[in-house]
Amino acid sequence: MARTRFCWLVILLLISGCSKKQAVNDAEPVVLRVISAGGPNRISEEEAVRRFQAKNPGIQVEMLSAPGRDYYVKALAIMAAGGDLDILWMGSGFGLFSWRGALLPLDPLLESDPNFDLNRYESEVVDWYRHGGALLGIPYGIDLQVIAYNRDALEAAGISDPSPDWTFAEFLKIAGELSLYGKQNPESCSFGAGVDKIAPYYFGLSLVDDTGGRSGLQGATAELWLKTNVELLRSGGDFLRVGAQGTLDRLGEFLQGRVAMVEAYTWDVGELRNRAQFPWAFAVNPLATNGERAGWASSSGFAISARTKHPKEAWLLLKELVGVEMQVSLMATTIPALRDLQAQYVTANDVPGANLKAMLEMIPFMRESPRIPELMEVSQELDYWFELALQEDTDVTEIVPQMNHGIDRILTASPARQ
Amino acid sequence: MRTKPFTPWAFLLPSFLGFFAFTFFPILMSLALAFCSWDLFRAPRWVGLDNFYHLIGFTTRGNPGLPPLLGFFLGVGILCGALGVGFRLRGWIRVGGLLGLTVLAVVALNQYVEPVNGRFWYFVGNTLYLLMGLPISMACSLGLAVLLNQTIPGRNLFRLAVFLPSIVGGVGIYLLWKWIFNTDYGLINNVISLVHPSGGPAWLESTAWAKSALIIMNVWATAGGANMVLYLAALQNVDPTLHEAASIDGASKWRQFLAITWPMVSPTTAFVLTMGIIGGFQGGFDAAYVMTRGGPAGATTTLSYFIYENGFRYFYMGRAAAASWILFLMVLSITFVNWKWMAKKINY
Repeated sequence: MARTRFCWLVILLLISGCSKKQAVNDAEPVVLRVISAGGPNRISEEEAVRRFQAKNPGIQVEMLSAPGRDYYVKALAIMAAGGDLDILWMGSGFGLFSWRGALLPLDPLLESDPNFDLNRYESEVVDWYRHGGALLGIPYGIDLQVIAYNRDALEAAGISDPSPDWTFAEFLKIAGELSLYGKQNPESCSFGAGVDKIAPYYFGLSLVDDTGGRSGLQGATAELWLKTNVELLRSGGDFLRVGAQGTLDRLGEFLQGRVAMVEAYTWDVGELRNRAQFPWAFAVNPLATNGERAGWASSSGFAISARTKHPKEAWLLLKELVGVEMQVSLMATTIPALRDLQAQYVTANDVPGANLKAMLEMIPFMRESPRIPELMEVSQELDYWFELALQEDTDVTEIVPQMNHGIDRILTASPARQ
Repeated sequence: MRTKPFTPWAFLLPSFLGFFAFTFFPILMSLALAFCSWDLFRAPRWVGLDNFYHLIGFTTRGNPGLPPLLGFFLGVGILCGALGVGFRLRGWIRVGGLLGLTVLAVVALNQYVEPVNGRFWYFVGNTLYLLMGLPISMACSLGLAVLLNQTIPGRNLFRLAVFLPSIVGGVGIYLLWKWIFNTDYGLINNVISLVHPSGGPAWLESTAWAKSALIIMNVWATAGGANMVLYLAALQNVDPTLHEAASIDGASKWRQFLAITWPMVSPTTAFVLTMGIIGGFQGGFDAAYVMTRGGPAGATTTLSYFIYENGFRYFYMGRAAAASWILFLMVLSITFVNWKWMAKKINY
């Protein structure tokens, strides 16, 4: 008897566990889930959501934040685990999603919406959100990098402000002179410049080649790039190592007056405006050794999950998140992707003598992170060999081929592309 | 009263269901996954031994003086010969001979073949390097246990004090030590700068020091923990008359320790060593994740961190599963060797 009762109990439990997922009830309100990297942009995102809900009272929106450098990993993990996400913030990690088919093509939604004019957006940046010809995201901001310098430090050392056509060699020369002056005058900046690493684009190089299938750090130029880094960044050099790999805070060291020149990014403008106790200014990146100008660039935008159950509603919200009001509210952290708003960028961040237009002048020379699915792995490979060259007494001519071999191995054996 | 055979099974069923659903089935799945390519978004695809090849495979160097395949077999032959000769030796010479001949064989092999993923072997090396902290930690645990086994005032307070690090959450300890090891404002370098004006090393940012820093932290965190408690229990089981007899015979404290205490606690040592090796192979992820992110230049990346990165950063689930099985086989074989070797050394 007990056995029979127990068997019935197990069968009932199994049957209840195997019941079908409750069907979506049409009468239930639509709930959109948005995931973003949070941070200072969160306030603007919430404001955009409030505006959206005022226009669309029947649609609920839930905001999720995954702050920190693991945003992409966390968002991917949520999607992979079957979590309901409708809209995702996108940046340089776009390739991680696009290659995995995680994003919804927006072209059909664009075509059916005559009120949205994509031509108003910076076309090059829009193209960063294309994969296999399909548009998978829309940018709201452009992030790029320039050089910020301490005007007092340069003046004290008798160095004139960098000219718009300054070269990389001049950049190194100025850094050297500033360091020398700093050693002789302890009240001035101790280091001429602070960087995490002198990026390959200062030498006309890129992390991967144009096909995205091979390392772009080839030949004697790559060796020169690595050798320059080793010479300048080893302790005792003119450059202080600050930023991602170095433990010192890049902007903090500049604001404390320890470093005279640093790489500055769009999101630094507000901090510089509020915290700097000395006059500062931006300069466009120096011309690279191949005579061309280039600078790191990325963009912020939003995309719709390929698994969304509400693509039309998500499109309405996405338009709000990349719209005019959103872009105006974020001018202290990013350059608007809408071209007709860019002129306002300089006046909105008005700092006398800071030459904010240098940011806009870098737009034609943007060098975006490669949109490849192996971006994190390839970047880590580069960092590995870079650190090895910097810390251990290894010949750079031996390191560069191994670095290329490592990057090529990742790209050719990548399960993400198979 | 005769129990119906059905009843115990009914009680065991929930546990069995849990075991099959959450342990046995995932293990089976991970084995199957090791032969597949899966990024969590698309369906898994069978790739055979591809994942294993990309982790532990070798390719020929293409030495112009020798056909690649011949070079490979020559290297394997040298390695087998070295192991064969090594096993014929006896005692400590056998260990030394095996190690020396294996190194020679690997050097010879290296002339003709190279690993497909050299980094994987580097991470295996890191894992082994960090295991060097185990004997230090064990020695400290035994030392502390001997000290705390004495009848001294406030003994329980001391026992609590040395046990505290092992009950503090890992992340808290890692953050504390991250500050202690900080190059510019860390505790250690501040003390060093008092006697050495140029300051101390860049503990966590230097490839030369990062592993040592993690070993130091691990020894601090584990010396007074469960191992010390085990040794304390073992010490309290040593018959005091043995020490009394040795003392009457004029044996010094050190001699008593070597001749009585050490052999009497050898079963505990064997247990602690075995568990330590298993834990050491599987460990290293949390400290590396919080303190160094596996850097600098992969210097603190262990096998467990490598598995995490492949699985949950790059979403190469198949490769992560293959690496997990390689790790399992390594742990299994080393534990087996350790168990056979220890069996001859333990005094029961």
